[in-house]
Amino acid sequence: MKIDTLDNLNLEETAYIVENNIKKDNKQHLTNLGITKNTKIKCLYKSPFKDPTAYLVKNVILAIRKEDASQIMVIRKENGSY
Amino acid sequence: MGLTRSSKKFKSKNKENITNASSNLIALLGNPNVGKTTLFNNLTGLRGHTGNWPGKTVSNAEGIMKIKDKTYNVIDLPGIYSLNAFSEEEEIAKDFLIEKDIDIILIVVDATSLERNLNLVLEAKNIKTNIIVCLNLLDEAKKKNISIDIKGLEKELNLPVIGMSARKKEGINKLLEKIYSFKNKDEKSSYIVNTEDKAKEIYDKCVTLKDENYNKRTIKIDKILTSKKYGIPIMLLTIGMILWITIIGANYPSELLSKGLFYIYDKLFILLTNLGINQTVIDFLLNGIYKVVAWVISVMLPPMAIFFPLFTLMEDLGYLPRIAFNMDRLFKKCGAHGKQSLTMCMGYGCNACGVIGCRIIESKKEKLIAILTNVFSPCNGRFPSLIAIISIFLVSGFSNKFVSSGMSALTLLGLIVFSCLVTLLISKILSLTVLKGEPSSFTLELPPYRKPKIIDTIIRSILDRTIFVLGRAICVSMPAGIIIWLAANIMINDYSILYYISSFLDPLGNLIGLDGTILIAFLFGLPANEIVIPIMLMAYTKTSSLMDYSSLESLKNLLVSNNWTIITAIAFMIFTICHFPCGTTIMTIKKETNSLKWTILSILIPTITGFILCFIVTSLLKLFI
Repeated sequence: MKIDTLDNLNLEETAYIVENNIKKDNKQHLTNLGITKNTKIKCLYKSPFKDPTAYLVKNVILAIRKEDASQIMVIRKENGSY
Repeated sequence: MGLTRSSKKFKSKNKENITNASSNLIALLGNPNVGKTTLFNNLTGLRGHTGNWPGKTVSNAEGIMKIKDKTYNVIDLPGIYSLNAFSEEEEIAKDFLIEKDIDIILIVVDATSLERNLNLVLEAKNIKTNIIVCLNLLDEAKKKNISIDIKGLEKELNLPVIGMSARKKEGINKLLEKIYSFKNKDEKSSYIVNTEDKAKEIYDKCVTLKDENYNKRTIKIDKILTSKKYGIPIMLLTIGMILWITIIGANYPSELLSKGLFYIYDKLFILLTNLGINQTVIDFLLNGIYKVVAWVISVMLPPMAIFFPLFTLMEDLGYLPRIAFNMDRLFKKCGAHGKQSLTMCMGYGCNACGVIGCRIIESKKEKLIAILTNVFSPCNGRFPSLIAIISIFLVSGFSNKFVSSGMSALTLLGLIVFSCLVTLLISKILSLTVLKGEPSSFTLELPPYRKPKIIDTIIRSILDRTIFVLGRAICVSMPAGIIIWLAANIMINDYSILYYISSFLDPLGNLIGLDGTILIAFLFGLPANEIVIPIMLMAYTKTSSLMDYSSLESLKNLLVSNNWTIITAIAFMIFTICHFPCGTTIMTIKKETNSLKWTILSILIPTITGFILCFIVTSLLKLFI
């Protein structure tokens, strides 16, 4: 069980959200959009300038900036056991 | 913001309707971009603007629907994700649900992303029980191999659920029957504390995915459209094509329209003369009012009627959020939002529309930055002036037609790049100064690509955007036409007022490489940027009504004889990009921000920028030339 931040997720990698630590106004916005505890999140692709990154959350594609992603704690799925 | 105001206004207006005992009140609630507005249009027969973009409904729409003997007032609330009153829209929606005596709440949910949507249903259920769930976009869900157990969902939620595809008008009749026979059970269900967990639980029970990766197609397309290699080139090509088609395509209808309107002008002249009306009055009516309005219509209508349908097509397709995604980093560095790239694009069509478009930016700071800098994107009204000046002063040396048209396209491109740089620079300055403390956030959803309905799109964009802007432009150009006419026709000691003002402005104009006449042309060109050059010509030739230029050659001779040089031309182009917004845009900014402060700043910022840039550039050029 390794806890990491969302921005460290590689492309195509899947993880589960542990905590949304964003301190700004953006926290609630992202919570509403599906960034909630225990939710599966997959890293899809990056913008041509490397930021933001698109993630698949609850079957919706969401772009999240690096500064926000670095404050979302996730846990990687290891051999399907979580 | 504008949205709160219009929503509140509508609330009070609605009171009268609610007290009307014979009609029932229905409210439409749901996440952004789930087809609420489409359903609303289906129910009420109105044509609200929809688009494949979260957050289209910013102010509430209201309509009336009849089923047999019952009349219903239907209200389309803004799209929200939750009822925790975090944003203004959520607060409005929540207050509305609690305070108003709503007979039925229709919650529209997206069948393709049910988990997130269910959260709102559960939150609403904690407040009210008279809910019908409209499970929309079932056709899309089917395509993506998502199967939903509607019966099970009904049981889990303890609410009626109607499956539908509002775009295809499927399931509407079933919904109407349900509405007609609806009786509130009025049994208090137990309060759900953790709606998110409950939503996940219900979702897992009722939804089966035959294909885990049902967003595959969208993701596949995105991997090309947002790739490092192709993302930016495809984007530039698309925007470039839209602008090119607009500029080229507008020429012919514009000419036709202008011919038609001036044909009517001649007929009116004969008619009024035959009626024996005083010559000055005729001159005032025709040259003062009619000519300005006709001018504005003939130059504004065709480009907008081409640009907006194309743009709306991109919007319906779902490509626009990808542009925002591609460009966000650049804008982030300037304290702005990636979506600003889209409002800038809309600004190339019309700044007033660009300003309205800023509604898609959800955070206050970034929205204000986008509104205040939109004018730096030269609109359709300014492109013709820029092109005329480019062809006269910058590329006239080339005898080869092909080379010169290529050069003028390149110069125009350079000016667009320049306008983008100014936008980013001013955005940065704004985010560090006046807007420093405003709340800021970033969210961007990339919705699945949808096949646009082409005919629908064309009709809608012409009705919604083109006619709307045109109407406003006419409102502004009429009084301005009167002022211009008076200034050019009231004589004091053999000189018109126009002459006195331009002489007065001369020193200021000269300081920045222009002259008083050019400044007054911009000032009087307030109703629409299209008439800046005509007013300038009117003042230079000392005639008393707007003048068109018959050929570029004659225009050049006239300008050169009034001391225009290459420096004047460059300063003129800079000032065309950087000066106060047109009257229509100013009115729109006032409406959208609902604040005098931001409206005044939106006039001052670009004007001061223009003065400073013109001064620096022309001072430098004078050293070398």
